[in-house]
Amino acid sequence: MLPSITRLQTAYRQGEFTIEDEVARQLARIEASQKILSAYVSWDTEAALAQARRQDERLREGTGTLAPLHGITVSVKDIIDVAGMRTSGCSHSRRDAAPAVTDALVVQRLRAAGAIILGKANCHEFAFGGPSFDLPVPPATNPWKAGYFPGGSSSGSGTSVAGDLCHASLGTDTAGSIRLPSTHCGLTGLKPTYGALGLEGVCALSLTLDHAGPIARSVTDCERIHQVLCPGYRPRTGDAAHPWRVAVPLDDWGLQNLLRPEVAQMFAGVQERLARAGIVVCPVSLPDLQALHVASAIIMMAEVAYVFGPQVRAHFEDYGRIFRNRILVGERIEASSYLQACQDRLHLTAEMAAALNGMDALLLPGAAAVAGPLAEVDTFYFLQEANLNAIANLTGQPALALPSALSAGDVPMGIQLLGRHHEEAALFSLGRAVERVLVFEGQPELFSSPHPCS
Amino acid sequence: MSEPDACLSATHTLPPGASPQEQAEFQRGLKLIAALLAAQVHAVHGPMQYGPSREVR
Repeated sequence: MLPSITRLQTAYRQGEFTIEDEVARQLARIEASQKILSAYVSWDTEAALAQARRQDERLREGTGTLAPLHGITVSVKDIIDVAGMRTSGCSHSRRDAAPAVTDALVVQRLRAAGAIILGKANCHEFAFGGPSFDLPVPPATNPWKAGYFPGGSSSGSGTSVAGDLCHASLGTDTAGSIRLPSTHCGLTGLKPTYGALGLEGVCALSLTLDHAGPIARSVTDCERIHQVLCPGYRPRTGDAAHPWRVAVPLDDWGLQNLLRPEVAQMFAGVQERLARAGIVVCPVSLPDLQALHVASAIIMMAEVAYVFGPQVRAHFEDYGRIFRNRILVGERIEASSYLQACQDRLHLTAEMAAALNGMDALLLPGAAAVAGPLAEVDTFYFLQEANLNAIANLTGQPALALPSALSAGDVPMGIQLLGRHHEEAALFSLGRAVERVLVFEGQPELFSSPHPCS
Repeated sequence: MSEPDACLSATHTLPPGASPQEQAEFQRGLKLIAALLAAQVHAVHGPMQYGPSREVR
């Protein structure tokens, strides 16, 4: 099992290895695995090692307490600005772009907390077009199984954290792009409440649905990073005053047709295990799943087409086939349909809040299917059936993904918890309780090697 | 063809450079979008209202 942030910082303090050792080890792993895993678009070896040496010096000086992310390496999705590095969006259209002059707000906060930015994580083209084989960098692959989908669009974020190519990653999530890689790669990821994190310096995709957030190895690591990203955040201390109450869909809610048998079996098993552990699992009547799907898909497709449509029409050849196809399909949505979807969003959000009254969270699978081969991912997979991840983007609720079990094919499956707006602290606390019950301790086999902590 | 008509037809097809396979994929996408739009429930919701507060705390 890979070490937590706390364990790594203890190792640094006690001199088990230096920060430079750890950064050099991960950089060597990136070099060795890139042709297979394709986790990164770019990385900066010299800058990362120089920062690691400075942080080792500070440790040796022994002045004061360590910053919360001192010596912790982070990959940053390549639609988020990192000063001195090109924000490519994993797109040929940005091949001549100059390096970013300043860090995005979320990157500034990571650096101020001691994080070492290793490089730019691979992603779907502008977080919307992939997995695609006609982009500047091949699609990231799942460290659990070569050639398999690691989830997206923060694909390289999931791959880099699961592959021990960094300790955590910064991703974005417009329809599940933090939580799907977390689910498929056996990780924990948070999509915070809409608006909780400023998005200055992040490429816009959908103004209504865009979020940024962390992908990490555990709930506690994820919370540590969220606390850095969100300065007003206060973790919850002590146990809950009452048994946790987790809602699940009443009756079928359309899941019988949606979930693949292995995921349905996993989801039922998770509910049983949580109930046995004293977490109250309550079936509740939720807003119509198809209505949630239709509203979120229409808003996303229309807003993304608005942002990128003119550029794609003007420079068609500069974009990947999947991206440009999706964009130009989205252009067909008329204003009246878009506005109807926006109004539906408000009503569905209110209905969801009412349905979850008295509950700590809604429990859902992290994905309807187990990860499959990259080449089999359909261009319009998110239009063909309800996307369970997109619900929290539509309603703006915080949502935490965490791993639950390995499939028969040895790729991870996971669940997600949708909390109440601005109540990330309760969500993390519940997430830790669920994590203790589910106990997922696997590690991918590709490029596996014992960590110096083990 | 008038200018508005030309614009409309232009957005029903992909620009030159797209392969027949890509054109077919695009047409499939259009059908999926059409199905989503058809599934929109045009219920009478009354006056448009704001949802839960989105103030950053």
